[in-house]
Amino acid sequence: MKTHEMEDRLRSHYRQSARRAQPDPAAKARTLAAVADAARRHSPTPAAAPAPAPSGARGATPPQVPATTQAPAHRPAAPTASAPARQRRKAPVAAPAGGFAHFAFEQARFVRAWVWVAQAGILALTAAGGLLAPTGEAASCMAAVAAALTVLVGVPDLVRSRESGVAEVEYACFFDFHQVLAARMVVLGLTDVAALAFMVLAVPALAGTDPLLVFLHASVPYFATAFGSLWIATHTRTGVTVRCFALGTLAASLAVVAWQTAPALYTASAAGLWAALLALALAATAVEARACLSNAAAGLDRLGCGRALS
Amino acid sequence: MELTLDRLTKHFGASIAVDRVSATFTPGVYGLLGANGAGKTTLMRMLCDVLKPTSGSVLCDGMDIVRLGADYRAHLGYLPQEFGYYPDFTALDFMLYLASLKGIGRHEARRRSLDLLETVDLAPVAKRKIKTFSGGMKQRLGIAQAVLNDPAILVLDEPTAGLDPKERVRFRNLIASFAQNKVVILSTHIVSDVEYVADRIVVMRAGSFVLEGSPEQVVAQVAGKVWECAVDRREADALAARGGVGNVHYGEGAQVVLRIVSDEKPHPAARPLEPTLEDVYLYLFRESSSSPTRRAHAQTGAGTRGKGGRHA
Repeated sequence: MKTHEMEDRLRSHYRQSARRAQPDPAAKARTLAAVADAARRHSPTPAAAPAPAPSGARGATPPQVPATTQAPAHRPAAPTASAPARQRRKAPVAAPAGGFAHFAFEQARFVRAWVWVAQAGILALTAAGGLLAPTGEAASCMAAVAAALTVLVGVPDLVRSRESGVAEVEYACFFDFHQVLAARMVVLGLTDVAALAFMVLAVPALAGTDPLLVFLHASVPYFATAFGSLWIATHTRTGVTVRCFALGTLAASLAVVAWQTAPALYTASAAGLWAALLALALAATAVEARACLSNAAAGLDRLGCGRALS
Repeated sequence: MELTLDRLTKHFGASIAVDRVSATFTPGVYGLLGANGAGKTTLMRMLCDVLKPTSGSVLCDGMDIVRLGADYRAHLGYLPQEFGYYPDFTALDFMLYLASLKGIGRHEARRRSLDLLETVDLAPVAKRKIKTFSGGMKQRLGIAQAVLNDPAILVLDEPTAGLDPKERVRFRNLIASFAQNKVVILSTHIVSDVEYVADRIVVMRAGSFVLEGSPEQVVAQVAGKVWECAVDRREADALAARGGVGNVHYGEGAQVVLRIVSDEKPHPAARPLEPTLEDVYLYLFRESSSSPTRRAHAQTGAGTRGKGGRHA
């Protein structure tokens, strides 16, 4: 048993003794036995039974501490003789094998099938676009649109705990809502990375464009849409999915409008601009992802769903 | 297993939802009784680490649950008042999903899920989508997921509100069967639910515990304060206006039989009655109820919520 755990247990015992305003030898003996038992269970080598505490030291009869805190108005009565015997504290549950990493990848089987179908469809359309696009710039523009849509197909599953009201139950689980959200970010993020990698490989191969340019033209709308979606999820209480879809559609539309009005933006001469935008979008996404997870860890009232008062 | 609340407080802005509540819960069934807005749900959410308290702490065997984290939640089962679900999941899918969140391995999760769905009589519809379920079926699914990890601490927030009487009895029996050697905290404003199931009753009002004890001890608080009298309609209206009327029965002719909770004898012809837990509820919350009709509804536990009643 760690030192602070032992201290907490003893502190709790003395606090309860103070409330009773009299020492309780039986409760004290139970506390000391529980401490000794936990120490034996957690010690790699068998631990000797604790020596009797010398008089005056901690473990001796606690002094009569005057109640300095407000006594509860209605303290529960002491357990009656007919109440069940005090249960032995269960040992802490060991984390499942593989811990969070295993849990995160387990969550992939709960992502809805249509998400994978939609991802595959986007990639197929991107490949077709690379094959049929009249110019390399047009193919890059298609990759930019596809990248924004790639974010959108994952948004409903990312935010479904809030939208369906399941977050409250998830908060009370071993892997709580905060970890569920993190797991979904990992799963959906990794599949998005794979999708982007496919675009960066396939479009240049089919359309004869520069892979670095395709990478820049796909990554910027991807991370811009991801940042916007995470910002909406963190700061909006209702209609998250609809707003994210509106944002993603806007990002895709901007990519098309840029290609139609200023096609030079999709040439090598504008690579520096795209690189700067990518750095900005990447940093913003990282900051917002952290804020989203912090918000989730703060509790249901910070999340915005569920009633505030009951 | 011992759960201790140490001056637990929760503020929402300027409003105090839970006000310095201290208590200790040992294995047994505790009925948390209180009107809407008493702070029951906020308290339960803090017990389940769903809400962070403004101040104070929840201790499990002397250790703060914030520090215990997942170790505490591993021993916890929770059925919230607003039980959310993924509509396109089947009952089995949902159980397997929550089993993964509770850290249960895949094979064990499937075995336990099927066993529990059988126990709550949902095995025939295990492969049906939850969005097709009735209210009672959803609540049974809720209790099944709450006990999936065989928790030592089971927190149920108004699990029977909106269910018809048959479903409520069934639910109470389910809770009783799951409650062995656990700390079970069951919140409700339906008095009959706790009357049959709870070992101890805690009454909550305005964020604080105002009364606590066995059902007999709690009922004894209103001994000598429950009366019955037969009066004419004009006198009945006058007595109702003073408050405390729990039941009104219109007999033949002009006679009205009233059941009244009052510190003093309300009428010369009034005779004392043995109190029930409902009388305790009415006595403690009589200021918040203004009409006999509303109080009669509260007594029968017809407590419909905004969504309307749910039926099996």
